[in-house]
Amino acid sequence: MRKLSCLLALAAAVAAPSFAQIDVKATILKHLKTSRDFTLKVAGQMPESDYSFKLTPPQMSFAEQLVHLSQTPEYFLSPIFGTKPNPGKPASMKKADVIAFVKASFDSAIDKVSKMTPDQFSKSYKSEEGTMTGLDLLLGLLDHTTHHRASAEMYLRAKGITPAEYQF
Amino acid sequence: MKLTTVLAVFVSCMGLAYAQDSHVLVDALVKHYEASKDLTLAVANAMPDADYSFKATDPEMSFGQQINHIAAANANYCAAGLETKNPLGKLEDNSKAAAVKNVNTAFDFCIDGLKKLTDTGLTKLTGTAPRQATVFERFWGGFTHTAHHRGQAEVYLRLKGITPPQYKF
Repeated sequence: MRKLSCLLALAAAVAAPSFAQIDVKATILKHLKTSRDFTLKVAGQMPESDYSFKLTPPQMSFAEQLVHLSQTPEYFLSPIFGTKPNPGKPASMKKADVIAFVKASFDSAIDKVSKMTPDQFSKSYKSEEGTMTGLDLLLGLLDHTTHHRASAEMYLRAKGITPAEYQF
Repeated sequence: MKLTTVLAVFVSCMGLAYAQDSHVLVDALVKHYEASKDLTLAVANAMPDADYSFKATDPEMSFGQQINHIAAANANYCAAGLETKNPLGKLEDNSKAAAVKNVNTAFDFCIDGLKKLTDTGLTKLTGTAPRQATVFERFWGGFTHTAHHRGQAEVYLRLKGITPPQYKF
């Protein structure tokens, strides 16, 4: 009997403290993957000839929006891993190269997040946006992507293309 | 062996207490919801009253409808997370005054509700299959949906020659 209660206590000890954090990591990975797939859909909808299109002169072009949202995760993630941001760039601003870059950047971010330890979610880091926890940086990464993808969707509208259905 | 057992039970109790009382996740969501409220209001206020009916292309929502949609959706997501009644009814007045008021109501509802939760509360599953989601996902879903539509609304500002407020998170 005492053996059973010890076992139960041990099981609880292993399961309980990390539950909330593991749940958050799985949730963030799920939505990061959805964000990658949705961004690739939006990228695929614009014809090659309109990749340089912008609605007003001060804005980024469609291709520049996609490159920017793909480079930024590296800046959100590098403080967590104590590395220098190395976002890279596409081979050219042509559609195929930009799409390949979007995919590679998201996959690299997904790989990094999947390797995060529970400590890295709660620890504070110095970033370009000030001091933030690992969780803050991840939420910021997702939010920044949504922000620029939404602008890119407006460029599709302006070209008479109905953007892919919103996914989360 | 006995000491290990005592330690295990001790760690177990600590772990449970931490999870039950912790507000790390809640505080992060509150902080970002407050920033999102400020940015959304700044975007809403940047558009003149007269251009609340403006839309960039025909199939789109007007600027006023976008802002109201942000408010309505947040209220919906948060009501689902809090398992309570949505404070906003059907939104038909797309004027600046009405839309700004609705944004305030919806965000305050979300933020006040969040502040009453603990991190453990955020891991609870709500809804029925296949649309089940944790409370955390309900709130994060509302948050992301805001960024999606606010990002569009900012382009409406650009089209009217207005530089959108600085992005913040």
